[in-house]
Amino acid sequence: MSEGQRGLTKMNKNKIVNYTTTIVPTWCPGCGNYLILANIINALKQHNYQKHNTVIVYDIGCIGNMADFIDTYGIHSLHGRCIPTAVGVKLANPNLDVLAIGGDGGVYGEGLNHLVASARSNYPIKVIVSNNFLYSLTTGQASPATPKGTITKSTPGGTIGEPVNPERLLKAVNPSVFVKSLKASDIPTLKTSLDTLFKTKGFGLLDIEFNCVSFGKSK
Amino acid sequence: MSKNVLTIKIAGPAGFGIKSGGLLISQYLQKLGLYFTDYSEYPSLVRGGHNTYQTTFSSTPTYSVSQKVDIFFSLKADFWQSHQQEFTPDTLIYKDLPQSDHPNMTCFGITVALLDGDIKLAKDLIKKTYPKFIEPNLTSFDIGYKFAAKSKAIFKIKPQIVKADNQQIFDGNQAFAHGFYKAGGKFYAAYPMTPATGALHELAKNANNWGITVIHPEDEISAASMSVGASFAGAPSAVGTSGGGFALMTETISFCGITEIGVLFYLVSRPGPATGLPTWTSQADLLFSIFSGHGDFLKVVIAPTSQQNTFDLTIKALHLSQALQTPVILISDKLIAESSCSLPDFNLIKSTPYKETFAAISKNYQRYALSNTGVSDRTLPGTPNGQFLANSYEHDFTGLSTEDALTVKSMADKRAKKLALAKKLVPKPNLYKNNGKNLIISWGSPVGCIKQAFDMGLKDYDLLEVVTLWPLDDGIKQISKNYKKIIVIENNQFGHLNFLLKTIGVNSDKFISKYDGRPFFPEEIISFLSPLSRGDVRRTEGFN
Repeated sequence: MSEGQRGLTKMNKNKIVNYTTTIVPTWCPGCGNYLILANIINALKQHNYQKHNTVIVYDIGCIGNMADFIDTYGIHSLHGRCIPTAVGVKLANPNLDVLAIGGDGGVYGEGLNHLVASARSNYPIKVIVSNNFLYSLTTGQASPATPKGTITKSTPGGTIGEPVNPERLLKAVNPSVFVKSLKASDIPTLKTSLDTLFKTKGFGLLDIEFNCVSFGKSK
Repeated sequence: MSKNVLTIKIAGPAGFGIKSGGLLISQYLQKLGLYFTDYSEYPSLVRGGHNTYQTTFSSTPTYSVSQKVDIFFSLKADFWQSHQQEFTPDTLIYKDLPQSDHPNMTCFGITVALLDGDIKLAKDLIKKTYPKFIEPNLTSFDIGYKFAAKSKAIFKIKPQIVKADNQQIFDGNQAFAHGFYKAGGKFYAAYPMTPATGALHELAKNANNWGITVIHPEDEISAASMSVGASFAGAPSAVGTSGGGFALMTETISFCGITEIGVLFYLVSRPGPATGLPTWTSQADLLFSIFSGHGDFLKVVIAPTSQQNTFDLTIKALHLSQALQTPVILISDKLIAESSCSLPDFNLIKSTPYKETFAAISKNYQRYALSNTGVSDRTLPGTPNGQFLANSYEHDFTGLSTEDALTVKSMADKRAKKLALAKKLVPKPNLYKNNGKNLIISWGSPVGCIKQAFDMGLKDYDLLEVVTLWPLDDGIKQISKNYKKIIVIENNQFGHLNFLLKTIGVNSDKFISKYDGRPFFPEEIISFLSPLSRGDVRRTEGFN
C-alpha cells in the first residue's frame, strides 16, 4: 500500500474494524491455529490493513480453512499454490497488501518449488506457515516437516527424510529475505515476529510451530 | 516461365542461418509487394541436423506452403537427396553452391537474379538486418547474384498487389502477442516450451512499451496460478504453453472453473505423447484441451486457422474469458505459431480492451449471486466493502464454503447456465463455397492448406471451418445435411473433431488424417480427394 493510502487509514485508526466473518472456526478444541488466527487479526489491526485493500491467499489444509473466518478479499487456492497465486495478485496490483497462508504440507511439500522461487525473486508477499509437522486434514500422514523416524499412518516404519528447516533453506536461497521459525505458544515472540513480518518490504516467511492436538506425536 | 505461385526451399544444417536467410528472402518478397506463407522444419538441437525453410509466394494471397518446390537450395552437398519427391521436372536444384562465407546470402542473391528483382532493395534489407556484418553478407549475396546471371529472370511474377508499406511480417506467436496486447491484456506468464516460446519472447520484448507484466516463473503450474491471481486482481491474463506444460496447468483450469476467474490459455500443439516431437506440428491435443480440468464446468476452446486469424481470435478469446468468467483455450499448433506471412501491420490497429461491468456495492453484495446468464458481477480488490472469497471449495453466493446440498446444486446450475451465453458469444463456423456437392469439415491449420488446394483447382468440395471447437455450434448438422458426402481433415491420428461431430449427429464418410509431425500440403489434399485416389489415405483406427 502506498504511503498516501496508509495516511488515509490512519484517520480511521480509532474506528473498530471487525476482520472476522460470521463463521465459527471449525478447528479442534485447543488447536494452535486459533492462536495464529487471533494474532494475524491483531497484526492486521495494528498495521492498519484495510479489509478492502488486503488480499489473503490460503492454501489447502486445516489452516487454509481460515479463508472462511477472515473478512478481507481472499482466495482459497489449490494445495501448494498459495504462493504463486499471491505473487500473481501482487504483481497485478502492487498497491494491495498480500499475504499467503498455508501449512507445512502445502508450503514445504506440494509447493516447495514455488517457495524457493519466490524467495529467490524476493517478491513482496508475506507468507505465514502453520507448521504442525503433519498432514492433519487428511487425518495425520507425514509432512516434509515431520521429524525423522516418526511413525505415521503413511509411514508405519518411521519417516526416512530429514525434516525441512525453513530458516536454513531460505537463508541459503536468498539471505536478504525475512524468515523465522517459532513456537506458537511463545506468544510474545509470535507478536514481535508478526510485527517484523508485516514491516518487511520484500519476501518474508513466518514458520509457526505447534503439535496437532488430534494426530500429533509429542516430540 | 510465368507462374502465379512459386515456392523456394533451402535445406542445410542448423547454424547456417537457414531460417534467418530464408526469412530475409520472404521479407524481400513482401517488400516487392507479394504475398507469402512460409514453413520451417528443424530438429530439436542447436547445431547440425537437417533444417529446411520454404516459402510460397504469389501476387494473390497464399494460405499455405506448397509441397512441390520451384527453386531448391542444398547448403550441404547431399541434402537435396531426401527432397526428391518435392521436385518437378521444372525445379531448379542448386546442389553445389559457389563458395562463400554466408551461403544463405548466396541463396538470396540467386533468388533475386532468378526473379530479375530489385538489387538495391535486397541490399538495403541485408544492411538493415546485419548492420554489423554488412560487407561479408553483401559479398556472399553478389557471388550468388553473379552465379545465377545466366538464368536471370527465368521466373516472372507480377508483384505490387498489396501496399507493402502497411504490411509487416508476423508469425502466429507474434500475432498472439499483438492480439493479447490489443485486447487489453495486462499479465502474461509462461515457461519456455516449443512451439509456444515465441509468444513469451515477443511479449517480454515489448512488455515495458505495452504496459504488460511478463513473467517466466519456475514452472507451468506457477505460471497458471500467477495468472489466476493476477486476473482476480483485475489484470486480464494469459498463459502460453504446449501440450506437456498444459498438462501441468489443468488443475488451474479447474480452479478457474469453480472460482469463475477468466484466464486465457494459449496452447500451441506439437506431436505427443510426452516429449514427442518438440519442433514439429500436430492437432492431437484438441480433446485433451476440451476435457482438461476435473469436474463439470464450462470452458471454451477456439482454434485459429492462420496468423491473421490468431490475432483476431486472441482478442475475441481474451474478451470471452472476461465476459464468461471462465477459462478459454486458444488452441494453435506449430505450423501456425512458427510460420510467418505478410499481414497488415498490427501496430496500426486500435486496441479494444473489454469493458467489464463491475458490481455495484450494496450491503448485501454477493459475488456469486444467481443471475440469468450465470455470470455475476465481481468486484476488484481495492473496492471498499466489496470483499469476497474466491474459493476452490464449493461455496455459497458470497464465496464461503458450503456442503449444503441445495446450495451445491444451485451453484453448479449457475455455472452451467453460462453455456447458453457462451453459445451466443463464441465465433461461428465459416462456410467457404466452392461449387461443392461434398463438404470438407476441418479446423485449425489444415484449413489454410485446403483453401490453397481450392486455389490450385480442387473442385466439388465446400469447406466448413469450425472455429469454436467447444461448445460445438448446433448449426453444423443442418449445414452438413446439404451435402452428399462429409470429409473430415485433421492433423492428428484419432480424429478429434471427427469424434466430436458424432456427438451432434454428424457422421463423416471419410476421415483424412496425417500424424507424422508434418503438416498437410495442398497437393496432398488434392490427391487424397481425387477420384483416382486408391483410398489408402494414412488409414487409422480413430475413435469409433
